[in-house]
Amino acid sequence: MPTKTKAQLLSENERLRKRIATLGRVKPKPKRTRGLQDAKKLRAALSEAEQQQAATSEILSLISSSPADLSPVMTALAESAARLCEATDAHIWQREGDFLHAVASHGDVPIRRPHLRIGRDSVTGRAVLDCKLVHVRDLAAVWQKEFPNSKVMVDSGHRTVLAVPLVRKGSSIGAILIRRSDVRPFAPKQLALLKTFADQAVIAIENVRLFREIAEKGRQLEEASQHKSQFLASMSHELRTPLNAILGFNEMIIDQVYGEVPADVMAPLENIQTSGKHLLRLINNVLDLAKIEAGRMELALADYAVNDVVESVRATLQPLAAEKGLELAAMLPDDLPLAYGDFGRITQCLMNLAGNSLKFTKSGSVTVAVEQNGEILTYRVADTGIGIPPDKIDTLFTEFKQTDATIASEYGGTGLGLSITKQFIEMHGGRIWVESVLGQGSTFIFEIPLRVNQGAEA
Amino acid sequence: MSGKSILYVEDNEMNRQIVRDLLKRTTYQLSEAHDGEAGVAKAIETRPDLVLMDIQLPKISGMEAMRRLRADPATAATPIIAITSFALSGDDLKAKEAGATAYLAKPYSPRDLLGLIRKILPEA
Repeated sequence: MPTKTKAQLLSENERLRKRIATLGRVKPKPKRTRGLQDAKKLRAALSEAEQQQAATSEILSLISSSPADLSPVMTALAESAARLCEATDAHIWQREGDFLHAVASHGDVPIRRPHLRIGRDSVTGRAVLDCKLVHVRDLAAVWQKEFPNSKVMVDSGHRTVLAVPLVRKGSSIGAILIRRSDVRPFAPKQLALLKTFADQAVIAIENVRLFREIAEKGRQLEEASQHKSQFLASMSHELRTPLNAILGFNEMIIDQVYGEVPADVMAPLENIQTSGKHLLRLINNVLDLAKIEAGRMELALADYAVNDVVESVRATLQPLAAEKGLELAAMLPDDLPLAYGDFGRITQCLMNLAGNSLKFTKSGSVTVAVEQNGEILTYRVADTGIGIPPDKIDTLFTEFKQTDATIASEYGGTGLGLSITKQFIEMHGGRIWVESVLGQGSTFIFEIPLRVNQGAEA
Repeated sequence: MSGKSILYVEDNEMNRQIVRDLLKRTTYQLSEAHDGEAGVAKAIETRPDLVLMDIQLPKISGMEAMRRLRADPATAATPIIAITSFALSGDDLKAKEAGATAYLAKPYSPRDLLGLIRKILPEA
């Protein structure tokens, strides 16, 4: 028997294996050597895919975590592009008018010209102008004819170069350039990968642009709102000064400081005073709201007696209640400890609520009650008035929202009182709500800390 | 026989006119200053029996003016009524800290002002 070569033996072996497999319907085992190669290839392909996936997902997470700053994303893109496409270096350019500006680089050879005029005479410029990938096998061979403006790349020893445009809505906003110092064209897979990176760069640029746009819009809105509040605040002050004088002089006429006033002139003088005070309240409310909105409202915190709040409200409103034939009752325990907060503002809140109740009650009573539950003070203003329709309760505390226009014309008021009251109570770290039965009456309730700023307020 | 003297420190002419008219039929003798600095100088020089001090004043504020009056032996014990602004919550506390004897929030009623003056400085 002639000696068989190893190859012959192997192929014989293979034939045998096939025959046995066919006979015994046993699946042929893959050749051991081929199996190893396949596994190696598979492993390489797998690890390549894994690396690509890892790179793209890292970039995506950078895009979302760095909405205001482009450079971390661009740096990561340049690094991944160079590494995964086996390039000597990678550069990312962004377009501004007729120029490209280098925004990120990775590799040993730095970009010689960080600003490049866009033209078809350079590799990157052509990719940008044509919105098409430009892949040059050997730049050294073609630069003179095709890319005279890319001479610097030839001078720095780059041979195979690839530029992919960053395309947004059909036009280029930049490019990624990768280069090799040997002549070795990039594989189709690498071309596809670079296009993916280009897409990600576009998303990142767009993201940052939108983020800045929104931030800028927000800033402008904030500024406009500040101007408005500032204007309202100074306007209210300017309006009040002459109004104070009108009210002052008129009151002195009523008080007969300037001599006797004929009886029939007294009523119109009183009307001037009433209307003037109403106007003053409106202006004061507008001023308060403007200051709250401008963030310039500060509470004047001090110890105060709850009884003083209730008494001040009762004393002020008693004449109005008496005039309407209503009972105005105050109920509070006599052992309340000293409270800490803005006495003036809390009084203003209770005055607003009790004043409203008197306004919307034709017969019966308005009761102001205060309770202490541990560290919480609960104020209640209950009336036997017209009540509030359930669907209006939600908007009750918003500016200029009385339940409807006819109510405003019948009962008057600024539509600002409840909104201001809510703001002051919230500034104290409290809350306000209303319980109401249409036709039977309403109860406004607010809770504030007995002592503001002690633990509760930030 | 001349009555007790009151110095009113206020920059607004209309407000000064109101107080002028308000005190015309009383025995109080009114003098005026138009800004904080002039107010302090005049108070130390003329030693009035009562000072009405507006808070929002040109040059130095009413608060600062009151502090200076309190620091000067000539006016350290002079009663001062501070006229604070309604809009500025907390001015009443600051006014007391600065040395005000009493305060009245703008917009004040002349009736209330006269009542307060009479309480602190009885006419006769």
